Amino acid sequence: MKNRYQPTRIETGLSLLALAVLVGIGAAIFHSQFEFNPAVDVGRTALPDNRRPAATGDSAAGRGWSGLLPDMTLLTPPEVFEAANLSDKINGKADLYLSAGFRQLKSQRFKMDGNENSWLEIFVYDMGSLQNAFSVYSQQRREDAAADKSGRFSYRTENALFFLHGPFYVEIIGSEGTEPLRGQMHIFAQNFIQNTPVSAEKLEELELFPEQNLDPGSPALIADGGFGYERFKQIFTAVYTEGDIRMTAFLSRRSNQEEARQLVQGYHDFLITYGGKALKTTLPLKDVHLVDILGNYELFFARGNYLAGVHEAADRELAEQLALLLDKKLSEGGR
Amino acid sequence: MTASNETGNLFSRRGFLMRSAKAGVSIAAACSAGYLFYDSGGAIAPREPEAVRLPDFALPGMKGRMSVVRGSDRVKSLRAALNGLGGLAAFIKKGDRVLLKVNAAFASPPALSATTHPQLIVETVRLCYAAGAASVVLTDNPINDPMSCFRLTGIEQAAREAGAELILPREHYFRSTSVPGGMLIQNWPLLYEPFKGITKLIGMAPVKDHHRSGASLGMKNWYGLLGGRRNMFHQNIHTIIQELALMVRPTLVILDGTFSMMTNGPTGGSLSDLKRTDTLIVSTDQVAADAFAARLLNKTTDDLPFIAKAAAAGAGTADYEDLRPVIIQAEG
Repeated sequence: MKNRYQPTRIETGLSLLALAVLVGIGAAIFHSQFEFNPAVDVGRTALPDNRRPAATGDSAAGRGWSGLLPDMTLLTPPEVFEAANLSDKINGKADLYLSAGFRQLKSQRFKMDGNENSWLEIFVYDMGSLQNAFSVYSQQRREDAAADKSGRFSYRTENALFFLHGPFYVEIIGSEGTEPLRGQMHIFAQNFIQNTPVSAEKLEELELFPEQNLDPGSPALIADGGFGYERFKQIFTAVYTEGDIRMTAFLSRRSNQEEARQLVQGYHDFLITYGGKALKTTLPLKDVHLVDILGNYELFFARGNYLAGVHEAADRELAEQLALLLDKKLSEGGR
Repeated sequence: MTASNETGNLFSRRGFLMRSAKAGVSIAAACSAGYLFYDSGGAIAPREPEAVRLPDFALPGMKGRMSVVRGSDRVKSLRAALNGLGGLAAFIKKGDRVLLKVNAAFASPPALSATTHPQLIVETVRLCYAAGAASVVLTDNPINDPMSCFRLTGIEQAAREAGAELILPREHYFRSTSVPGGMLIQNWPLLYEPFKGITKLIGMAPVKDHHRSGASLGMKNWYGLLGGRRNMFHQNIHTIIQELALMVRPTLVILDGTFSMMTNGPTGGSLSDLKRTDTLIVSTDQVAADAFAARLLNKTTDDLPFIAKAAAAGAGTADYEDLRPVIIQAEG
């Protein structure tokens, strides 16, 4: 019979104790990785990493978009920004993108031949999905913008063109509002769309807003914290005008009926907390709430997986009419 | 050959060697892992043994001065505003070395009003020299690549035209600074080198909307003096602006609201983000200047908590009317 060393209980206990201490140290180190202390890092580098040119190994970033703008000259090399350094490019506006699912930004400048002061910068934000891209597109939409044909979601201003292409939100900003620059913007848009295959996506929620009195171009998507309520995420909105009364319809598809109901109740409680007064309504809607807050009406309800309602309506009757229309559309197509 | 312990359990020489080998492999693996994660730089101590603080550039006898000019021509408005305060010569003396902290945050064209307008810079530099300044320096630590920012904003050319020195940020230009009693600016890199020998400081900023803070005005302009991972301060934006106002005590601030960026700030991008507001503010009280400029953005001081915070911290007054600002209608 072979002799094998058998540790004593004390040895086993001590070994387990040593292992437990080591595991504890490991866990503490692991945990401390998430307790970032900037003071440790700031002394090391005062200037951000984005001051380096984009890596040429990245195909799109390295090549840039010279091929899509054959009549313009490269002004600056392409730049690429990720979530960690997006604010190095757009500073305080980064939150808007980050909360909407931002993945990557590529940007590059081109100039007109023979005119140093006539240039444009292209920003292509990869937002991961059409819905995310629509969120940042719609929240920044300029009110006096002109319609454009660079896609279903596109508009232009005197010096800029904005459009969506699948998950990409594209801004082309000109240094001036001249016809030659605007022409180049459209050439880029056309070439970009043709050369960038994307999967077909639809924003079905937009079809659920009643058409009567809808302000064209007003539909928007609030990714986070809609109407100041932090639990309101992915809220589609649309502005309605009747006479001089403006109000906002909203809807959001949740994962199940219970979640929709809970959010409706949560929003009601939120409004009451901030001074709202609950009113009775006889509208034949499920889980319907009517709240008077600061002289405006908030009317909201749950319909299947959707929560929906009317926000900041100065007229109760018009708010109720719009809520009924919204409910009808949801019952027809929102199940 | 065998060995025994107290309990009589035995292990062989072979067993001993095997265990030793395993222990050796374990130790080598642990050392290798440690080496892999070893950071030769380590958590380095601040490069500067002593932190720096900016001197107070405010003139003692000039506290609480403010002038507001209504006009569409920046240059004329600037002259009129300064005249309303007794002329730039009341602030800049012969031999002064002046630093203009411009806003060159983004590589965007002057027309978008996201950065300090070059016309305003040229005139300010000219007036400084006319008042007897020995030198005028411009600086900023932009959000984007500095060379592109200064060039595409037209600020580089403006500096060249007017005879001012442009100082771009370099790694070794930063020194550690702290705001006494501050929560955020503690041992933080400050763009300090351009301040060496400076006797007067003028902040020059456009009036802009800001997605996070509500507005980017004169006090927020000092953000461009910070280095490091300053974007983390956006999580506490009103407090960082308050601390910036405590960190920097300027001789003057100039807020350009000839066009104000009403939406989509601080970058803007579309000319339609701008509104002609035809106002230029010059003040020795940076809080009051911001409070007045808020009106141009259709905001009140209640909408911009950093104003009340800065006032409460002693950086100035939010009640600009107390200063009895000189209101001037400029020609043109």
